[in-house]
Amino acid sequence: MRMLGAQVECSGNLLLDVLAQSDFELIRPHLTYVSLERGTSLVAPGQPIDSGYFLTRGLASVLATFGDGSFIEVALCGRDGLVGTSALLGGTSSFHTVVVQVGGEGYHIPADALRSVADRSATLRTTMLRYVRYTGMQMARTVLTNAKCSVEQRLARWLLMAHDRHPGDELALTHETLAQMLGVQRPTVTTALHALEGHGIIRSVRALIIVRDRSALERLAGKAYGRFEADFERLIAPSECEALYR
Amino acid sequence: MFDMTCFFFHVRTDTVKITDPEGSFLPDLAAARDAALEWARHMWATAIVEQRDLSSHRFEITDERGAALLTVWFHEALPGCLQPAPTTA
Repeated sequence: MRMLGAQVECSGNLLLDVLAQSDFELIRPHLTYVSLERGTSLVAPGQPIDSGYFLTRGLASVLATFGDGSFIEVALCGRDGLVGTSALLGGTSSFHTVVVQVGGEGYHIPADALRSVADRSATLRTTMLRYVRYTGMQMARTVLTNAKCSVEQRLARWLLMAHDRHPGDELALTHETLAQMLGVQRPTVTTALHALEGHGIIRSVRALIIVRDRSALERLAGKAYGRFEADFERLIAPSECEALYR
Repeated sequence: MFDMTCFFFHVRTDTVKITDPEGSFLPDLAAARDAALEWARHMWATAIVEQRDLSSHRFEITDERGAALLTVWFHEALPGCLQPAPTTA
């Protein structure tokens, strides 16, 4: 349990919650709770990185874009991590677009403050950099699954990762959004979701997908949803991380 | 923007109808047909690799009230050499 403002609660963001109390106290004065509307651009390519966001609810997509406006999702961030990791890596402007796909809330931190607390605490910096490393692995897995897995497997993977990173079973997003994230056509998503719904795995109503049978989704995803997708908590938590990669 | 119409692309096979819950805003029915053909080509690409036959699939394009506007069969999207063989002599 942590003090945040006047309320006693966990922050709701895994990365903040795994920090040592002293590290959390270091970062806490810089955090401002903000509402994050669907469609909000948190990071834009070529723009200065002036903010970080620790989401507690909702989902943000990291998109790789071409200049003609086409794009594909390369990573998904929710309550597991931090949007704006480039600020920790010496970047002054971003390569990627980060956009809120499922509306929610989270903590805003000025990029200068994030760099400052990372400079002051080696343990805080290490925890943040573990998440950066995890994000790199997630991107690699996304490339791998895009090339080697079926649309159905990738859709199941996406839903599972979203379910991991957003509280509850309901995901407020359209088929169009899902199609854009997966780089496929909207009817492909609609058809695949129809099949999942027929098996009672999800329920899909307009602009809302409800996960009903997570185990079945995991079976469907198969190799597409593996250790790297599922074990982000262990990958970020320091002691477990060392054990995993020793 | 004011001239855009919301078209719905329901997928029908011999056994099921998969309802499009969202629709797409497009300038006119010709653009809707073009979109249906492009989507069908992508769906064929996957289906051929997975040895699935989409010959009986078609898009039923409707307006927002559900009025049928146009049917686009998936096989219309195939290049000539891939067209399904005629069923009658």
